[in-house]
Amino acid sequence: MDNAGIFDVIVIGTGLTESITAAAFAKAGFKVAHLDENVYYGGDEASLSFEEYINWAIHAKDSTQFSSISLSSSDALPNSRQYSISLSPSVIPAAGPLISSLVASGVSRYGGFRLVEQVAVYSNHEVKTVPGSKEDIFKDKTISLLDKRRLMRFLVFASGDEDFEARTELEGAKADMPFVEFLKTTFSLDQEMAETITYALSHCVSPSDKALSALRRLRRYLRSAGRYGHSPFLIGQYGSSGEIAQGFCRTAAVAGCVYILGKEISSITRNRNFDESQSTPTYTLTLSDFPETITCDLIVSSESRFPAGLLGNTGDILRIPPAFPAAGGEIPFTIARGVCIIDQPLSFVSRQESSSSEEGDGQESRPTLDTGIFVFPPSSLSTGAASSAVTVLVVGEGTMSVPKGKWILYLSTSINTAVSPEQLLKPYLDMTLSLSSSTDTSIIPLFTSFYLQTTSPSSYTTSSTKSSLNTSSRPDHSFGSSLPTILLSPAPPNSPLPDSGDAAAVNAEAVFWEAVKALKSIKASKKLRKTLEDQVPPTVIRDEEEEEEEEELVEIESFWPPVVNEEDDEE
Amino acid sequence: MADAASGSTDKSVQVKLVLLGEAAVGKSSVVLRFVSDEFQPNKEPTIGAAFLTQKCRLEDRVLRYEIWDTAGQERFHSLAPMYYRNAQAAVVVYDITKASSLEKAKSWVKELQRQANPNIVIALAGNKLDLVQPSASPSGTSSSESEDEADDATATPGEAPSSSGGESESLRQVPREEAQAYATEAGLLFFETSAKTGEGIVEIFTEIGGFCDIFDEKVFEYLYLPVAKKIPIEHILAATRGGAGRPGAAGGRAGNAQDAAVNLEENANKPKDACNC
Repeated sequence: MDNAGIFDVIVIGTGLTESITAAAFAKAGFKVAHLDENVYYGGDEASLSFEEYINWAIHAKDSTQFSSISLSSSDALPNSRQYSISLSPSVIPAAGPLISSLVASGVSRYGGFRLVEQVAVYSNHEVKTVPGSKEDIFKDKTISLLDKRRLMRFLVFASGDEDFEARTELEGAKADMPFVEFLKTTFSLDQEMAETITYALSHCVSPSDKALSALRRLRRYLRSAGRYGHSPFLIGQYGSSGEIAQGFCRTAAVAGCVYILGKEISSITRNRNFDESQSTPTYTLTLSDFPETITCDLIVSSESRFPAGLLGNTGDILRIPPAFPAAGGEIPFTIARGVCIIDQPLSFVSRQESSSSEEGDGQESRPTLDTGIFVFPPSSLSTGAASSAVTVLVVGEGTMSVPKGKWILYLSTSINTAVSPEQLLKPYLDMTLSLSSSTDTSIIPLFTSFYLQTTSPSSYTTSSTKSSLNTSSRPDHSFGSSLPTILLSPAPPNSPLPDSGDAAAVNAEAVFWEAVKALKSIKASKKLRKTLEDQVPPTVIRDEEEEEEEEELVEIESFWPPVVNEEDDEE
Repeated sequence: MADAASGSTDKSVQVKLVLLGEAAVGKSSVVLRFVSDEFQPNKEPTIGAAFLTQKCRLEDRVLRYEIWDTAGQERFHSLAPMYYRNAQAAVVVYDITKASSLEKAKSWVKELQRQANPNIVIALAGNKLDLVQPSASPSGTSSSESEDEADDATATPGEAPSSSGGESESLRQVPREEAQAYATEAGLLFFETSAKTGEGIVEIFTEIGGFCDIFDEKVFEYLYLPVAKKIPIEHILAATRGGAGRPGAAGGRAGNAQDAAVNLEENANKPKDACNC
């Protein structure tokens, strides 16, 4: 325990991106400390119990990211601890980078996942099930034969292997055309179907979303369908992102990462003699109510958590541009969110559909759902003012994030102007509760809460080309003094629903490689200094440090080292 | 979308067991003794594995323990809620030569009662029994299992009226009777153990298993949401974490929401819809 406080990397913030990064560092053999000022894991993507959520709502009012927070009541519901309310509700494409990282890192063993049962869209004043597969399209009696043909043609195009750029369908300026228009003109789909594809299959956010990026996203989703079941999307148990972050943190801990939660960083000191002695760490941190100081060569922090005020000179900071979405993604900066808890099941099958369906024969009630997504295309609701699509994610007890007989509805829409999130989202909530009630009466919520979440735009001011880290906005770091020693990881996009987890995984990998590069340069420059010093009177260099250095310069080949199957050690 | 892997049909029951206790009381050593019947005197902190598994035969059934170690996250009170989720059993370890470690153990028991499944079976284990036993221990060398943790085992002579006699008994800081009384009051199973000699280790796990057996699967059926929610364990386990051939993964409950549970490691890319028109 001699070098207990000495780390290669200190990671600040336990959001999903940082947690994945920390796990990768620890598994690669670096000495890592992972800090969070909160007593809970997950940062802005945490999963909170009901009481914790209330607490969060009361305290988040001071933050720059969250505003206009309202609570219908601050009294706790019974079984508070059985709720896992997600601050970053999302679903996970089954074949995306997050799932790959979960499997490759072994973290998937810690978490349960389930399929999103159903996606529905608000169309012509009704809830309409969105066909999730070709089978569904065939069975769907509300689509005419001609439309089925057109839809199939489009789906074959969208899910194919060819680059979209190479396709004649996208010639001209069509790649930049709004997606709905593209679908109507190129594939002769009617408005309703085009909207369904745009908002409920491709999860576009606004009517101006461009065809190429929408197609790329849709292709990822279509390829996810069938991996674990017919839905392309999974949702993690116990609040998804926050729980998954905990899983990565545990994996990091198992690999030796040290966890210190609930402590604020009270000072960060850039060590002045950094240039003089090769063994001096770059930074020394002190934490409030924590006796020991901790040191590191490199700091990796979430952008929102970095206590920049503690540091005078910010010249050593490298802001890692988001590596996801790869290209052309239009990311909203402010999103209005709503959380609603109900105690009656919802049904995403219209009354018409359920009465006409074969299985519905002899059954009075409509089929209820546990997990589903309900989408209002922009301007589809006459009483609603949202100019972007409004999505409602429903999670029930199957996700283990609510007590039995309760459901959480997460509403979200991106906004351009300052509005009251409650005023904006309330009509959509009301419509959801009345339309998809499984009985004839509208459901009365037990609890509602609304807020605005703003993601710092600076994360997204990168060029829309495939962001190559080498050509990032980094100033030319000449050897020596201006090595980046603080890396800020980008915040995940707050919409669309299926992208934040994948973005976290992709961004974490980008941060990881950049950090490995930075650490190598730091070590190399120290080593060079050391050799220079060695020619002058030899200073006392302890063996252990030399060894450490050798160890760290070992080539790292993959983001995740192969997982050892610990299950085989039984007799 | 019946995804259920046709698992093997052996009658083994999985038990998630979490370890708790102050640093350096020998949590990992207890597990290591149980799982591989080994003892490493200079055991590094934490165990370096996601969790260890060990089968334990108990009359006609096989318990498959999935043992979670704290991975050091308890050191700065940073254990994630995930750690406690669905744990059916817990072993809270203290060091009988260190009175403060029992106090710490009590606070972990409280934490378990607050965070974990209310039906959880908790065992209290006073470890390092070899340190207070006369030199006739089977290992020959009576040297402590914590030579490397000498500062933990600071001797306080004259304490602890001994129940079994022996000169080493003076190292004992927690009288057996005191811990036993606390365990009885708090409804815990109680053991004194030595990971070094193996004494009392297997007993912890068989007794926990026996306790579960008395409840005849009720403990396993009612998980986490104890009163209202009844989900067969096969579902939870299949849903919670993966692995082909999980016992009972095929036992579906018709029309239940659990049908959509997914095992990520079940990597079989199912063929997409075959139609190509």
